[in-house]
Amino acid sequence: MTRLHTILLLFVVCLGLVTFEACKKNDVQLPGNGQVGTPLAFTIPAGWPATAYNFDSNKITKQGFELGRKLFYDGNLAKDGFTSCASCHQQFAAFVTFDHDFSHGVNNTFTTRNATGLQNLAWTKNFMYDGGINHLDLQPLAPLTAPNEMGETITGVLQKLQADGKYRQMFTAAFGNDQITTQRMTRALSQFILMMINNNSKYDRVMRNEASFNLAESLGYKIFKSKCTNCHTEPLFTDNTFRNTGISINMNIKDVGRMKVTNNPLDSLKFKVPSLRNVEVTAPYGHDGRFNNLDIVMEHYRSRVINGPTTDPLVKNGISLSNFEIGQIKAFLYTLTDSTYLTDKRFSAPQ
Amino acid sequence: MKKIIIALGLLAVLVYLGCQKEILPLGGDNGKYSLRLNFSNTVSGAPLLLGNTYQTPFSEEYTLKTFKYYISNIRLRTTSGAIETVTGYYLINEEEPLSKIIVIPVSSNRYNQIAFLLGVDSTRNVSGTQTGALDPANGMFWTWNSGYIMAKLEATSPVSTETTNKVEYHIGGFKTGQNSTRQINFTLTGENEIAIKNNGSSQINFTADANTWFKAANDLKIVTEPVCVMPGALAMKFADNYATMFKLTNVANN
Repeated sequence: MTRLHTILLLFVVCLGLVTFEACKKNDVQLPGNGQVGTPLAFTIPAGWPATAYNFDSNKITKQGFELGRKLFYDGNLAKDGFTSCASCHQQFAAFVTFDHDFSHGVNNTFTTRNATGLQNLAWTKNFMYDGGINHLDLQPLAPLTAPNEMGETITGVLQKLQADGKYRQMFTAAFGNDQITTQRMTRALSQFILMMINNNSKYDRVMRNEASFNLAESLGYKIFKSKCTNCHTEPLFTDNTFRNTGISINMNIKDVGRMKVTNNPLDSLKFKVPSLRNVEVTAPYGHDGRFNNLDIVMEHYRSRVINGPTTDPLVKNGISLSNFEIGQIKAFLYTLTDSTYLTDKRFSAPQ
Repeated sequence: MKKIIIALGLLAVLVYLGCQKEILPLGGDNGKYSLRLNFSNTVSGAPLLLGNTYQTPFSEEYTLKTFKYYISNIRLRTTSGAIETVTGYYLINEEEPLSKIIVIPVSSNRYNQIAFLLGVDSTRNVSGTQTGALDPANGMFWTWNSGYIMAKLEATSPVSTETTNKVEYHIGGFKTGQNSTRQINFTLTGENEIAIKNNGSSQINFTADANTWFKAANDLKIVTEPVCVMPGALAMKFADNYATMFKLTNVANN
């Protein structure tokens, strides 16, 4: 090897390093975002409205879905290496934290709101009880970085993923190369979450003429349609609006709800109307989990509504409900339990 | 032999410089000319250096820690009246010298007006997770109340009433009534008209004065407002102030 050869060799190596150094930040997203993989069909159930989520920029693939599933169940994403999305969103409880008003974050912390169930989120526009998050893809960034949830930084999460060969392989399978970005991570999580469609309850089967309500259920459905459906609108059982149901402020948490993000006093104590699907397994209820069971919720609407300045007109005078009617409504609400959803292996921890 | 080494060295430098330009996602016409925008941050005329202590126009001392802002929606008007738009988003970060240089390819060589948005337009605030300069990992995005921090100034000050003497201005908000982006326009006439020479690159030199945040349309004292970290009326006051922070120093036609 001559001296020239050595210099040339050194030069090529240096040039490579220099190019890498200068260019590594420069990846530009390609049109069509370079997604690869096997498409997974997303089917809108018959009679359901159009989705709020726009699938054009994030098509669901088997590989993206599986990556999202792994991320969802991975406690290593959190600061403590232990708390995963699934720690607070448990499948057997329709993805709320079973039997908890508040959930546990890293370092023995508590959240300040009751974990909401995860289902049919393709039809949701604004997320959280206050609607502060305006896109499903952005939603995971809040729990990942909240000090009383997973307590990490976005950069910290990305570094952990980049250091993991299995993830690099799965990102390549889903997106064409092993570049791991915030956008890809959150889109993969969305792919997993979007597939969580819950439409196999007894109610759904009755609507499809595959089953029929018993007497209590059908009476309950009638009462429900006359007294509850304005806010808990079928088929999603929420109209996705924010309302004050006549609650008192929680003096410990001092959560003003929607007003927190709008700064508008007219939004004080307004919280997102929750879906009633799987309501049987998601106790306790309310944004702070103040209602231990459905009877207490009914009692609230019947006799405990506070007629404050922002209380919703639909409930400000309470809802007249006899004990008999409450029994029928509950019978109906139990038909909203989709047991196939609670046990669906696709949404369980990957093996 | 020496010549080869020099030539190779030059090539390496060129590759490096060539790639540097691509830090910026390029938009608009990928024209044959290039225009370079240089941003120099200042404090009432003095160069801004992080870690240095300055005085606000109200003689309040503050030691700067962070100074960042977004530039987007760059538009140029040719001398014949045509408007050219650049689709890139740029985060000017005092901590990263290279971020203070924006290089854009343009299709004409004569321009007499430049306009840009200080901040990120509402579309990008409502379209999910973005990449590049807009990646939420850059720390310029609110995760709990979706939206970009358009501009950020962090410091410490003995007059701050916060326990750690913190001064923290994370100015954002994109909704009607809370929109903290500001439109910036400069007319480039006379010796400041852009006339790019063949295969050349003209440079527009701007300064951005951090002290305008405290005093312009509104008087904002650290002692009364040490913190602004959410959209709303106070953020709008800061935005009206920083709308005046840019000054055109000169245009260099090379």
